[in-house]
Amino acid sequence: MSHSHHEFVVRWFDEVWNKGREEAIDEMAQPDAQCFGFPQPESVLNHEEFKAYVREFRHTFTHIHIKVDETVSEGYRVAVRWTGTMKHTGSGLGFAPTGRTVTIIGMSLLHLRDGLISKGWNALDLDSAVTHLSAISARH
Amino acid sequence: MSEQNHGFSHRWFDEVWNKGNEGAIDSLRHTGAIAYGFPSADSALTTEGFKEAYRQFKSVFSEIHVTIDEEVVQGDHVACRWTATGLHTGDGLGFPATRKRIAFSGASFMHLRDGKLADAWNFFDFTKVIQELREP
Repeated sequence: MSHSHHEFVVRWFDEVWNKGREEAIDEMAQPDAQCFGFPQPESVLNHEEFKAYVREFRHTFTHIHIKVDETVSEGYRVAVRWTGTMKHTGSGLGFAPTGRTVTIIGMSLLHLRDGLISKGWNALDLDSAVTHLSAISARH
Repeated sequence: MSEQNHGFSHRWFDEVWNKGNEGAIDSLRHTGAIAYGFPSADSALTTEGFKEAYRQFKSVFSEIHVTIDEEVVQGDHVACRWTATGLHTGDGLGFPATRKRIAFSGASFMHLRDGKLADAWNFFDFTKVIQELREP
């Protein structure tokens, strides 16, 4: 069970983020799935909103790679901590792209129902990376 | 093994943060343990460094309360997500106390050995908390 949850999570980040295969969101998350805490701590996104935001994110950042550092799994739940690297090449943050590569660490806790994600909570300090990039952008 | 590890995150946050019992850091944590991601995403603190950051945090915020929203346990590995509240009553962030109430959510991963904390990783958006305190 826990082994398959680990594989599932690796596949999720690989397909959705590393390969950018949007269809994987439909294949791996329930239609009524909810995403909490991403991109902002107070965010609550439904399935379609999550897809739209991933698309938007990928306009701001390219060369996205998320590595799964660890999974902890119990019953229908799996928690994962991950390290993401990405290159800031788009203007979606409200300032000019810097071309810099940033590293963001974070975690996700997923609930699965019938083998698909039903809920996901996320914790990360995206604002720290954005503040850093904004300062670099302002200098140029 | 994992049975006795259930509830560890509740014990840790209750004793260390909610009750403010600094002695619990030594009784619940191995001496060589490293705490990552607290107070900043890039922090990596030994026991003494953690205690210093803990005292600093408590000098800036009072009425700290951490609620465990969910705990996941697999063997010696514990993951939890939590919600923290507090009152900004100290000047240690580089600007005066605002007396604003803060609430933020985050998560911790803990590796245990013999029922005590061996290493821990923490994730939360502290940048946003500070930004909100700075807003007039």
